Amino acid sequence: MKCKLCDERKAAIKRPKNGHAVCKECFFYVFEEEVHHTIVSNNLFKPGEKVAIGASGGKDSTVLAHVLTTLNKRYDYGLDLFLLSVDEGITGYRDDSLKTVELNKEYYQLPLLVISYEEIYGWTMDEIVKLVGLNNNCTFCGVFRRQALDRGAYKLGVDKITTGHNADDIAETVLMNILRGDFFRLSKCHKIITGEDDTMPRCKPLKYCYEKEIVMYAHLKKLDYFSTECSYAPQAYRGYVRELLKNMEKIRPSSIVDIIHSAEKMELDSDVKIPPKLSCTKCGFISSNKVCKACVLLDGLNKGRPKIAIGKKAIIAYEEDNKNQDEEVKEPEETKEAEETSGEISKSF
Amino acid sequence: METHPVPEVEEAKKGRTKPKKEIDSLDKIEAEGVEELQEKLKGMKISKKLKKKLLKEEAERQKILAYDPAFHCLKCKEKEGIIINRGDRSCESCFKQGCIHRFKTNLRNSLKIWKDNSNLICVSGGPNSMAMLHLMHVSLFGESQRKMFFKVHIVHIDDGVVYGWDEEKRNTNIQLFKDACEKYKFEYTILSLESVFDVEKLNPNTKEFTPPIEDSKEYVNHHYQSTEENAEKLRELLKYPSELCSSREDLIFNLKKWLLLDFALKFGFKKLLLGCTAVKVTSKVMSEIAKGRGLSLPNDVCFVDDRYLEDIKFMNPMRDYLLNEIQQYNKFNEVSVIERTSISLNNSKKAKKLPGFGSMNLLCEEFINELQVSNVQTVHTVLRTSNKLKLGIVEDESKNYCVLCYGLVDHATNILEVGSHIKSVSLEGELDLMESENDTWNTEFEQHLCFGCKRIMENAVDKERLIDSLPTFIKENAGL
Ligand SMILES: [Zn+2]
Ligand SMILES: [Zn+2]
Ligand SMILES: [Zn+2]
Ligand SMILES: [Zn+2]
Repeated sequence: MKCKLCDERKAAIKRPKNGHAVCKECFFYVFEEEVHHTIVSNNLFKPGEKVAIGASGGKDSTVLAHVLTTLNKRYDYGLDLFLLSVDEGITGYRDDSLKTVELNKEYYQLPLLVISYEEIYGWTMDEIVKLVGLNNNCTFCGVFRRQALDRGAYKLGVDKITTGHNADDIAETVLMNILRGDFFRLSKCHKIITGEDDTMPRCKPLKYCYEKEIVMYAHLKKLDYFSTECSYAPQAYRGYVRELLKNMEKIRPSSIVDIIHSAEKMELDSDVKIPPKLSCTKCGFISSNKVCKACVLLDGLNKGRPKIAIGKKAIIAYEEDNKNQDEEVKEPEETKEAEETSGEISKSF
Repeated sequence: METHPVPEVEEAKKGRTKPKKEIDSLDKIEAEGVEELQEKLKGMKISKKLKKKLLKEEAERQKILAYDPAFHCLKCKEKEGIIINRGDRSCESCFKQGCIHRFKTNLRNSLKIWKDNSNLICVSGGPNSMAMLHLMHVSLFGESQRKMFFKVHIVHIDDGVVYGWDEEKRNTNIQLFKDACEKYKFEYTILSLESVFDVEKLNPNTKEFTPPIEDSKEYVNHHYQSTEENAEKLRELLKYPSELCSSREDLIFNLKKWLLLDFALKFGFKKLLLGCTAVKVTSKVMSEIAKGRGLSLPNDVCFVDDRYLEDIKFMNPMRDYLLNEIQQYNKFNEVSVIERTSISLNNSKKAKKLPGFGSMNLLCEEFINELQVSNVQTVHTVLRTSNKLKLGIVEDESKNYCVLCYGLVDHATNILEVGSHIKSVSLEGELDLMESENDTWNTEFEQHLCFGCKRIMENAVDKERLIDSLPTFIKENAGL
């Protein structure tokens, strides 16, 4: 059978996205071109910008690094690319994946910054898990990682961060948010650029890439990536949703982008209150309360009562606690810890 | 509503020690149980009225003290709680009353049905709609303090053609429906699904429709039979949508909706009540999202969907009833139902191998049912999420309704939602690009469809013939 795209070479693979039989060369090319289309049609970058690639060593960020360097050359984006990795301090899992990131650094000749929980917060995930156990550790990790990336990005002096979130991740997050009742995040988790009004925007150039195609691309290109799941992440609930999504994809492959389309079209009712955007009075990073979730959690860790810090009322308790230092304590909005715990981030790196 | 026994005990004590002029000394009465209190009250100078009140309060207090949430009904705190719902127990009579009370509350508060006479109850004969029929009967004619006063008419669509039922099976089911209506003292009409091919005019965008039949009561207790020719047309049409992803089920659902709208317009009904219950609504949220129908989703699953012409509204009074509640309710009230097998359970090998037998609706329903077992808040949470979404209606001429499903016509946000934006690649790497989504959805008909319905067309067994076999009014609405 001849390739459906070039009609010359022999077809070697079936595209997971649409079932078309294509040759390897065409697959690579259209995969990259689709990312290019995503970048151009959404104005993700401006010439001369410094862009950090959030690199975990996993398949998504490895493919992202590969495709971005390729397109930067092919289309002369004029971007200054950097690799930015977070070292959570998880023995076995993170040291190995960081080795993969080191390889990428050599291969693509990109500067790499590794920023660790230990240097920012004074705690490694190994230590945190020892203290809080395996049930709540992901809460800590998610909150800390988000801020760690921001801090790393400032250190590098970049204009924005790109992350390796793919179409499956986004679709999964949409379904998760529906099931968790998190309508606020539901209304924004599909956005290709987030935090535009913050100082450090983030974008997802792989928004329309199917996970199956990313795996296929990485595999056929023989890219070095690290494929073990985080040793501390059981995430049973996400597992259910992941399986549902896989089943939906089996029934109709386009389900994945159809979910994204649905999310684009679902708007929050105008009566729904949106959490305010503030800066944390303690660390200065973005927060929806006076003190950000990361600072509250850290405070809990340092005072030896981490479990209390996870609760919803933790922020109020924190402010009560620190009333003396802090003059004008107002009742914080009772909103779900909005931006800074962004569950979406915790998955792919 | 979650009430716990502990504060109620305190409440009762407080009531007993409330300072009142004539009984200051009551604080000192220390009695345990009604009998002991009676004994102690004998020697006291207090009014009969107060005595009675105190005794009643003590009885109430004793009942609450004896109440065991792991055994007793939460509501009456006396009888054994045999039904467990979200951790709360209730006895049979409290459970039934609760169901009825909620139904009335929904009618009054969410559906705003009080006195009007233009309510049409759509009954498929399945467990949900038959439960609704019974609830409606009790709400209107039952013995209760708060009676409701409005008239309803019941309509049933005979969809035997879809299931390939023979004459006998069709008649048995129709008889079951008729018997229920007669038992509950309701007037009814029976329509045949294939009559949708006789709908003359019904256009969601120009708002034209067949003129109403004035002052006619011909529909009362009438069975509108259709022709074999129409039945054949329906069978032909159902050959062409894909058997996967619920395309066929959804098409049938929409045909029913058009037929109901046509009937409502002809005879002046304004409020159409459907029997969608919580699991159905919740699974629908999930499946519609997966089918790219996010724009119309809030309307499809809300209490009152008011996007239709001539102020017609589709309503879901049963939207917050759980599956086991319906099952229990029907069991206690001996409600009989029409048995159907899901349409998606088709025999093709390909479908059988897929999750949910290739049906998106079934897959999502199974998922929600499973999740509900491990997390009883699931359904509740999803309903709450969907309540926060903005309803969509056409306000200006830049938007249109889909001629197939009455959803809002919408387009891909990015062409990559449709698929690839690349048609072909030359050996030199030159790309032939798509210009718009119309390169994929390339018929005139598809321009009048929402994103979800365009996918139905794209995945059809034979798109041209599918369009060709649709009822004439639908084709006309798309300018064909
Ligand atoms: Zn090719
Ligand atoms: Zn902070
Ligand atoms: Zn009871
Ligand atoms: Zn439609």
